[in-house]
Order: sequence, then C-alpha cells, then structure tokens
Amino acid sequence: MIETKNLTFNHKKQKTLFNNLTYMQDSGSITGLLGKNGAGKSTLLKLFAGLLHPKKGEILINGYTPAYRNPDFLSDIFLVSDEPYLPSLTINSYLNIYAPLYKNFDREKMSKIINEFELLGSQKLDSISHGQQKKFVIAFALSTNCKLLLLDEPTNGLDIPSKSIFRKVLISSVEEDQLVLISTHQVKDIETVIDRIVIIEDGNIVFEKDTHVVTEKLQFQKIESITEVSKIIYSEKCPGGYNAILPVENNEETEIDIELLFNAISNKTEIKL
Amino acid sequence: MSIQKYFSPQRFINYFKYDLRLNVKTYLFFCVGIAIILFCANFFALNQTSTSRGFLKRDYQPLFFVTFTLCSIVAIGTSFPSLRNKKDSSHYLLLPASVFEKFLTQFLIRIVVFTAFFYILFWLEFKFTTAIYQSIEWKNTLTVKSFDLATPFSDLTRTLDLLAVLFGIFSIATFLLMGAAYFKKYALFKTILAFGLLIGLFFLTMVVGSHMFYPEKTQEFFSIKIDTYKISENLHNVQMYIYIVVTAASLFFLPITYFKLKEKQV
Repeated sequence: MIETKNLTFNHKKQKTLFNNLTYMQDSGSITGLLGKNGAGKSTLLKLFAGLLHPKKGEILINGYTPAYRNPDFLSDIFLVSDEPYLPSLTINSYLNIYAPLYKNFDREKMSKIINEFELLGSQKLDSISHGQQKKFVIAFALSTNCKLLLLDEPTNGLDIPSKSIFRKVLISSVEEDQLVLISTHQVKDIETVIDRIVIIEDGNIVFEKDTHVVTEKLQFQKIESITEVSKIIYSEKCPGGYNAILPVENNEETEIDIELLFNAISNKTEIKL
Repeated sequence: MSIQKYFSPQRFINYFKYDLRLNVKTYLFFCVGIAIILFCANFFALNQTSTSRGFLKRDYQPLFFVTFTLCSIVAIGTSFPSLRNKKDSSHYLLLPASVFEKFLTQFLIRIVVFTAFFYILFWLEFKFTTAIYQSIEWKNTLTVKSFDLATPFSDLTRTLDLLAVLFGIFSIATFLLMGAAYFKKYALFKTILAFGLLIGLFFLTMVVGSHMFYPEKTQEFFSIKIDTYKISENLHNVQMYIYIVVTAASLFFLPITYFKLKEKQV
C-alpha cells in the first residue's frame, strides 16, 4: 500500500524535515501517526496525498507516485485536513455534486454515518460549527470507500460524544483492503481504534509496531511507588502514584496507554519489543 | 502509455458537471453583471454620439473591443479560483480528475464559452440598448446603423490581419489563464502587471532595434524608427514581428498553464 524509500524533503528555505526516510505499510489497518508539533506528521500526509513533492527518494501508494496525481490514484485516496474546505452548500447538495466524482461512493453508508453524527441533509455546510463540519467530512471520507484515508487531527473540534461516535463509526466502516492513517497529537482519542503505532521524531520514524505486539510485551500499570517495583521501563508521576510501563509477566495483558508510550519514546527510553 | 490517465470522457463529464453545479451562482451572477455593464456602456456610448453624425461602425468596433478586453480580464484572470489559498488548493488538487481535465474545464468555461457568450451578448445587448435609448430619446432621433455579428472584425479584410487579431486575442486570453494558474495571491493584479512588463519589454526591443539598425534616424533615446522598413507592399517588419510574437505566444502559454498546474504544491 505505502512504500516510501529514502524520502528526503524540506519546505522552501527551511531545514531538512525528512532525511532518507523509509516506511512501508500494508492495507488492513488503522494506523496512528504520532509525533510532537512540527515533527512532520501533516507534511508526511501531504506527501502521501501528492500535495507536496519529495526532494529525493520515492513514494508509491498502491503502485502510484502521488506527485503525478493520477486520477485513478486520486479517486482512491481521501485526505481529511485539520481545516477542511467546504463550499456554501447544503449537505444534500454537496453529496449530489461531489459523490459522482468517487466511483465507490456509498450513499447508504453516508446517510447512516450522518445519522449517527446527528447531521441533517438540509444543513448548510458553511453555517454549521467546526466540529459538525469535521464530522461531515469524516462521514464523506469514509463513504468514498477510498483505499487510503489520511485523517489529519480528525478529533480536533469534536465534542466528547462525537469522539466516541467517531471511534465507533471508524471501526465499523473500515474494510480489510483499506488503510487509515490518522495523524494526531490527541492520542487518547484514538487509543482504542488504532492497531498500529508509528511515532515520528525529528523527521525519523522512531517507533513502528502493531498494538498487539506492544500489549504482548509491555504492561501499562498504575503503581503507588516506583521503589517497590523493580523492572520499570518508564514511569510518570500521576495523582495517587505513578503510571508505569513494565515488561509483561505471566502473559497478563493490560490496556495500552499510548500517551505514556509516546512520552517514553520522546524521552529516549529504550523499549525493546 | 495509457491516455486514460490524462483524459477519460466520462470522468471529464463528471468533473465538468461538478464545476458547473458548484459554481452555477457565480457564473449566473457574472452573466447578469456583464449584461448590466454592457447596457450601461452601450447607453453611455449612444448618449455621447452626435445625432447629426449618427452611431457608425467606427464607434461600434472600439466599444466592442474595449468592453470585451475589460470583461475578459475579469472572466479569464479569475480562472482557477481554488488556487488562491492553501485550504482550497488542497481540496482542488485532490479532486479525482486529471490535471488535463481540470485545465480543460477552465479553458472551455473561461475562454471558449465566455468568448462565444460575450460575442453574442454584446450584439444582442447593443440592439436592446439601442431600442431602449431610442424609446427614451424619441425627440432626438439618433441614427444607428444595423450591425451584425461580424461587424467587430469587418474591417479586417486580409486573412493575415484577421488571423493576427484572432491570435492576438487568443494570446492575451491564454496569458490571463496562465497568470491565474501561476500566481497564488492577487493573481489578477500580478497578471496585469506581468502583461505590462511584457509590453514594456516589447517597447524596449523596438527601441534597441531602432538604435542598432537605424542609428542615423534615431536621435532621441526612446524614439522608435524601426517601423519604417517594409517587407512587402502591405507588410511592415513590425507587423510581421507582432504576428510572429502573438502566434508563438498563444502556442506556449497554454502548455505553461498545464505544467504549472501539474507541478502545483500546497
């Protein structure tokens, strides 16, 4: 699905962001692309979408070079940006105008998701709130059935119930032949939906693992004192004790705490899986 | 090499329909705007004409070309409206149609359809305005010749002159289209500025040519004496130069527009 070889990129008059970045990713997963502000998450999504062109190296998405913007490639990719463009149309008009451009667009799926998000066909897209706009674009993106969905900060602007609907809709809508790449710094919002974690730092991929591999090898526990546990890989103080990452013992799996894992990696903690 | 990746009739129809449906209000508003502007311009021109002389072809032709030029600048210079900011550009570039189809859609709507529309509208509007004017000013009857669709070009009897004017119009139109694809912000203003620079460059080449080839005749620095040379009985060298420039320009402005759109990054 995604083959990135020796990618080098820098914005105009800025220092190199990606230097010889190599990244492979197959379809059939929801991948969380995590990183600090300015790490290059959105830029990487734009490179995958063909909105930016690599300075060196090669990107192949489903066998297409994104920079060429082949129409077959474009009809199978959808980028939900943090601030999506929406014309002054009602939801129904938007669907009538835009849906014919996507060969696999599923109107039934769209109306189902729209209902879940409590949006109405008669609502004007430029007069609804940012969160509602975001929900609409997510619904549209999922209904296109594109092979690659690039979601840039999809939960920004969503209220708490909408975030939970988003997770539910995402899990139920994504098929085996699709890949969803979610770039976000709000890791808690996507913790339960992603099945692969990719962490970018200083233009390099510093961590890349399936979540089941992480939970097989690591435990995420809240402990009262760090002195009483010997094999702590990483810990952070929290109210009432410490959040800690520990090696798995007795095959006892815990729920993954991506924020803690992310902080551990950002603090250069060595994590062997 | 598959032609499908550049052009597919069904995909192009879908995209063309998308553009029309999305911008229908803008296009209708523009059409109504042109109709009002033409009515005002025609009315003003008729009102300024002396009743003893009447409104002649020599009044009609410049009126056509001036209004056509001004409306073209707005219609064509505002092509690719989605390329003015990052958000709209990302959305536009990711729409599932080929670069050629996106380019062709703008070319057809902004140049072909607009020109045909203006050409017919001007003729109809002039007839309409004349009727209104004469009904209002019935005491001071103004004689207005009956102009037809071919009147704006009726003085161009030589094929070469007609082709030169048509290529000239096409070159300016394609230059405006190129400017709209090339520049991001204030595209219309920058395109007009670039056009002014091109005209300045043309003037400068004439000045330099005059100094190089006719130094004895060119006393002042900015005087142009190059137009004295005749290639044949009815053809000046400057005419020939302009013919070559406008013909060649129209051939390369369109490819530049296409490749600029293709290479666009956000």
